[in-house]
Amino acid sequence: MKLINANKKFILKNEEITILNNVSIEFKKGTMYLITGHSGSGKTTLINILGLIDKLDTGKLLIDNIDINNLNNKEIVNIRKEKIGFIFQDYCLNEYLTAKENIIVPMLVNKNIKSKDRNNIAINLLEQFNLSNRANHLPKKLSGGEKQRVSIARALVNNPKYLICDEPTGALDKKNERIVFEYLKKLAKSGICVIVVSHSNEIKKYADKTYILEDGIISEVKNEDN
Amino acid sequence: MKIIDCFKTSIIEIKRNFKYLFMFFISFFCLVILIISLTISFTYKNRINTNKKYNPLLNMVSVDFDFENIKEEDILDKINKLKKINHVTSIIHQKYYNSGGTIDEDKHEIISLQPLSSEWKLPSSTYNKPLKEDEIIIPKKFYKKQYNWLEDDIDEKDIIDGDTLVNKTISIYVDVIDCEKGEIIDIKKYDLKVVGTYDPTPLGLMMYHGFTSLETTKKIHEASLINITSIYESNEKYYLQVDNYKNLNYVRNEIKKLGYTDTGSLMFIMPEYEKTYATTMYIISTVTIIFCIIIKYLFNKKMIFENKKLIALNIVNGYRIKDLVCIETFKNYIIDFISLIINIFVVIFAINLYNKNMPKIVMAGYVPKFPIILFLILFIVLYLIEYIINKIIIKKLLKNNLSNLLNEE
Repeated sequence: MKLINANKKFILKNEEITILNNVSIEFKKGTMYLITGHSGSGKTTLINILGLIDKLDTGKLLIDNIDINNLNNKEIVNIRKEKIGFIFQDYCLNEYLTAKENIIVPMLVNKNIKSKDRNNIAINLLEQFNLSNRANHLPKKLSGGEKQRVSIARALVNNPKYLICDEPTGALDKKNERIVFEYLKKLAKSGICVIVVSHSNEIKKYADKTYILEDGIISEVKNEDN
Repeated sequence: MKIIDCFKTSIIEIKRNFKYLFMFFISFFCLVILIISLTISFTYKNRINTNKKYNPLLNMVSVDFDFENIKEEDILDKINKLKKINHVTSIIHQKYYNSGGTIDEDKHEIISLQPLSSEWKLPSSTYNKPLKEDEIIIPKKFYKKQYNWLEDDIDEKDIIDGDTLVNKTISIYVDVIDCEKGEIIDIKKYDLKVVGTYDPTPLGLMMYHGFTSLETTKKIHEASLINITSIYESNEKYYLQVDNYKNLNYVRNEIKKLGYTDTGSLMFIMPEYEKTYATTMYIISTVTIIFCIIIKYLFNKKMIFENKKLIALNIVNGYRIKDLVCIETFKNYIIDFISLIINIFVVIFAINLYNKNMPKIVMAGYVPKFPIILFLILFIVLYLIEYIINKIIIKKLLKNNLSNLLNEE
């Protein structure tokens, strides 16, 4: 994933706020990236742009060498569906579906996955995240860490190459935080590009590269903990 | 997304989310009112239409002469002119419009006789030839007993199957009244041969209304009154039998052109209350539909906006707007569907209760029938309403930026 001379601004109460100021950055597969910065620096906007949920004002975004600016809406939707997975701080699980059913939800619109295979794929993913015994539990019966693992499993259903995580451990205690980061690190090692926005200090041990976003400029921070 | 997956997802959520129970009660309550009001209005509307076409009594126009200042030969002249009006098939003197008598005084059995013009076909009539003198067509369900509908209820055992009396004779007894003295001076017996039966229900007639030829009613009436005083002559009218309800206004205009007084037609008076009743039911139905749509819109909006983050995530995962609309629509439709099925039994029960508690003799005139087609129409209409409501709400939600929806607290 490459951002080339990316610019993004917001107008808030007649004031222009620069989120990205001529930013160029590359995210490679098999690597775990941490993006940090103070609150309101634009980290979420940045990952929304990378996740094709938001658009740049100017500049380019290349995903697997495909220029997103040259794609129509339908093509953008397909790329997002096939290549990118999302994880949020508040898990974003359907409280009326079990863990397994929550994982199956993205598969329902994936024509590459047959109906008869859905169950097995969900169960395999749950096993990967040590949640086999929680497959038929509703989210209200799961701990925070378990919920986040379900949401990671759900994000992996369509075999994404890029995993975008917005404060994935913001609602977790230290123990569960570590568990989640370990899983994310494992995924990065398996070849997925994992991009994490977080304020946590814990993640610095796991991230391969750390960037700080401030005043629209992104700069790498040497990660002493890694 | 496949329809079956939409359906399964919807069913799972409805089963586990108790908020949909509230929607079920609203849906059920609204559907009960809607179906009962529509059933009653359809039945009345049907009866109005059937009455127009088949009820000879409503397809008459009455004409008034100034009898006090008119000579008999002039009356005949006027009647001849009226007979020549196009679409007038016969003229019936008011005296002969309604005759009747008792079948058995001890048993309090009565019968009411109406003249039937030869061209009229009664609903479900088994005898379609012109009636001869002393012939009668009776209701399929024939109830002869005198009946006070405000106090009494009829015994089902006393309702006779009219078809069992065909080709048999029924005797009626008519009091002969001396109009000068105001006394009953004699009782005369007439034997009438039952030649067929008809269904009085669509015409709103009672189960003791029989139809005979004009000559028969005239004969019975004339024999029942002697020494007729001027009281009876001053209010006399003539009824013009019109061949079709569409020609009533034409005949009325022709009467006016002749300079006579048109005193109206029952067609314009009798069904008024039915039209009012049917209209009231339609208003109730419309108000119920509007109320239901508003509640559904508000409820669905609440449910969808509560889940805006999930919906946004589904969009990110590749769901199209129509997939989301499909899921939400099925959730509501399944609830409506279950309500409708339960409603079938509730409505049947309600209508049976209504029928049971209506005076039986009047029920010969009105029997609300449960229209299956109404349910079929409702099944389709409900789905369309749910679909449109959900599409509007989801499109409204997605006017917001996806990133805003995903990042909202």
